[in-house]
Amino acid sequence: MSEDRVVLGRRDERTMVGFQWTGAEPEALNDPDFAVSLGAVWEADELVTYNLDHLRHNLQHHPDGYLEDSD
Amino acid sequence: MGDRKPVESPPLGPGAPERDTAEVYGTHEIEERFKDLADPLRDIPDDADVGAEGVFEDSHIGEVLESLDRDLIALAEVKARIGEIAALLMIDRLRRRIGLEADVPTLHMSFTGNPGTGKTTVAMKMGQILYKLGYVRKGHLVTATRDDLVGQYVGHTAPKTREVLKRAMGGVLFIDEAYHIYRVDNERDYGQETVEMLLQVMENQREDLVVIMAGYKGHMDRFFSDVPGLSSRIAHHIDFPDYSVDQLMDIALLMAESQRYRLAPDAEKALVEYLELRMTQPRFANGRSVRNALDRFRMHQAIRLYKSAERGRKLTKKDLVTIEDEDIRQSRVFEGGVYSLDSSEERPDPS
Repeated sequence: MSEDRVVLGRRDERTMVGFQWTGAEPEALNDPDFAVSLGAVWEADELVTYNLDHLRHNLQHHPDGYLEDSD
Repeated sequence: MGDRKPVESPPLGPGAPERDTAEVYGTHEIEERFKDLADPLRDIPDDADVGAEGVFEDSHIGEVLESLDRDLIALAEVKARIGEIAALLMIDRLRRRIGLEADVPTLHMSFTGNPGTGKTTVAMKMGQILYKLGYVRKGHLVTATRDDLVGQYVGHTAPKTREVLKRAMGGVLFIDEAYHIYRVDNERDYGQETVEMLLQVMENQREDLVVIMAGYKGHMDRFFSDVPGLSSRIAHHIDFPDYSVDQLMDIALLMAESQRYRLAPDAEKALVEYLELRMTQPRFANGRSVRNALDRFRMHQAIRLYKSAERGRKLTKKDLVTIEDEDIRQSRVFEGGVYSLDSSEERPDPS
């Protein structure tokens, strides 16, 4: 079980979209609010998780989630 | 807002000491200094340095454009169009940094051209460009066809389309052969529902999703004329031309090199002949056909070497990396064409 702090995304008002994922997030995750419902937390402008494995598990088993492409 | 004063800051403009503003203050500091200005047009000196160099370097946009140029043979016009779009977004981003607000630009695109001309590859690069310049949240590419979007029965289509849209949010949705979504001659076709959902998302969630519709040019033109409001939501129409024999040769040599193969001199001549013939035969798909051909040549080479080793011949490194003339000439393309020898395969799209 990972307990490292992983930054999933950042609020960035300099961008047109105001928020960008860092690439550390699970492939199937693309909604920050959904990420929070799965256990991610906001720390200032950063959306972080301290347990990426757990978040990934929650994502795969959430009824509103979907499985990543197997290919 | 009106009584805000310009922030105290070192002078910019003609009286300012000569220095690289982006380097001295950092790109974030430039934004901090400009962000509270009530009216950027009035409060920022006309000759203020907006730190373009910093943004260009931070975004790594140059690297993406270079890799586009390196990875794709020819397609000069396509690359130029992508460069133009990148330039537009880059300037848009610089304007935004100093408070010159602008609406989210429409970035939906249409890529037209025959199969294997690089549409999907460019769409993937486009996702990276949009991400690096801050126009999408994630920059990933989701490809979809009618089967992924349109259902088989009542109530099936909306959830399917919604699911694909959900997956694509924050990135690029690439709809291949988009004209198959909607069958204009069938009033009861469920594709109508998908089209309506797409139109709505393309208009209302422009900041979350970029849609690229792709396919044969003629079919796409008809599709746009059949679906009112679609063409006007697409800002960039880019046409992907077929490759010439010389360009296909360059592609083949690049692919072979990347897989650590080389063509013997006679094999290069055979490949030119192969390509000239293959281009006139059915189901020709430009770069994709070259890749498939190369896979078959590798197989022919492997069989040749295997038989040779069975007969007791020692194989060398040169054997393993070289594709010979005979590996190419045993292709059925030289025997009258791929179609004539396998009539069970589908006929190509007539366009």
